[in-house]
Amino acid sequence: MSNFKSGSGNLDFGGSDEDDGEPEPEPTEKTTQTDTESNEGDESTATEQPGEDSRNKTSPGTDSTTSSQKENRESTEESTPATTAREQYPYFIRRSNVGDERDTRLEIHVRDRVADQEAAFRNELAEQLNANEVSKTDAREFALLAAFQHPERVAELMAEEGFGTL
Amino acid sequence: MITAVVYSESGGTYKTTMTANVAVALERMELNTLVLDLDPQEGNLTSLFDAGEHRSDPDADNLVKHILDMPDGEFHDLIETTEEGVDIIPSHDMLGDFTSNLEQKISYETGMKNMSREEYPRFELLHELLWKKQELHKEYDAILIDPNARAEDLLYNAIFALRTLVAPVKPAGKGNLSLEGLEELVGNMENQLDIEIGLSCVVPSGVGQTNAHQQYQQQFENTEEFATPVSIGNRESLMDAMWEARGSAFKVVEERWKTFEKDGQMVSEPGQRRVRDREVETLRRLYELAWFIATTTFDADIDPVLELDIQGHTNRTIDLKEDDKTEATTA
Repeated sequence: MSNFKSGSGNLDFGGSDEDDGEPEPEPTEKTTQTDTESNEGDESTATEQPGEDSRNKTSPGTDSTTSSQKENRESTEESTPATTAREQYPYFIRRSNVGDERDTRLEIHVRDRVADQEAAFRNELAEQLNANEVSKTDAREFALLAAFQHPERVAELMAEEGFGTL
Repeated sequence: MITAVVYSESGGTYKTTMTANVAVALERMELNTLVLDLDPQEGNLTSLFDAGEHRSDPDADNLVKHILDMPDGEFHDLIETTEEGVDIIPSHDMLGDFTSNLEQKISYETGMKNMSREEYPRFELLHELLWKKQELHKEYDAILIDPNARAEDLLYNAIFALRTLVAPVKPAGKGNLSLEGLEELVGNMENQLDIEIGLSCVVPSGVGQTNAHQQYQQQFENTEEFATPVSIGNRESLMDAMWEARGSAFKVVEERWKTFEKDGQMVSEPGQRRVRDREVETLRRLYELAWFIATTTFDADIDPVLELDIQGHTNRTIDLKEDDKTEATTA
């Protein structure tokens, strides 16, 4: 019911050097998003060679906070006895705003060159969906889902970057 | 990095004294701390800290000019250091005209760039200035904002830039947990701007001994919706003296500032105040509040030992880790 997250909000300092966390699976995808037909919108950033650490790229709204690290309060029960509304209507139909039903906050730390691909990725998504824009939260959640459905692709990318070679 | 907007729905002075006290407490924890005063009214943080000499000079460079990207000088020249070590970007009268100045800028720029007014990122300007242009996160450990009271562009800019709120609340007669206005504001901002705003804690302040107050405080402490690490008793005399001492409650107690009648006139002088246990207790709570914000909300690593160097008295040391459990009611 509350709009507040207890604790700190998501603040990001435009890809500063503070958030070079652990190696994480990152979508260094070369797949489709290469064709950044980023039309009018934001910076046509980053296809595959996003200039290493082009700092100020990320837009002010991004998360992957540096300072806040806690309290993913209550993990949700997306899978529990679905209410009737849930069964009847798909998520994007039944929700009224982007935060609905999203009670778990995940935080990820990524390398700049990964973060830098996000704008292009969202543009591409929007294109595919025939939408003006896809919100960051939506794009991320479903990117995660896609990864869950294709662990082998994730493994491949990690292997490419030397995971497990030592 | 600790970032917090001290937001109080009802306005009032708790917001300003609390910002000052938390800032000084953080500074005493050896965190390099900056406060931004976005409140153009009299009796603001700037005057409390005795800063902002040029706040009424329309020609002086000031924060508004920098937020609007029309600076008249170096950003760092705006920063003053207070006697207690906290840095401050003082208020300026121009803050009162922020929205009209912003509107002009938007008209101009949207005209030039062929974008619609709605697209203009009007709430993101302070964020841009603090983190992108000035990279203050590389310079400071903590940044606090004492915002203007009205819910408009400046407040939104403050929240967008810092993302985390600390909310002093007054005991209200009815005893309802009135954070509704804040909730609504936060909800709207989150939806429109795709950000997440955190509430570090709620701090019942000015809690008196009346049953109504006590009951109200209980209600706050019993809720699970937000954290209430401490409540601050009704310490009017202590908080009022801050304006005379031009500094924090810590300074008032340490330098023993007192206002009293002398030769038919009211004067304020150091070295006069009695050392009262309940005021020392209030300092402990303020320190604990800062500790909570720094560690529980922001994961900073801090040794919470408060040394009080009280004029003419032996020093007092309060170690929050030690007396975690000793202590109960509103002293």
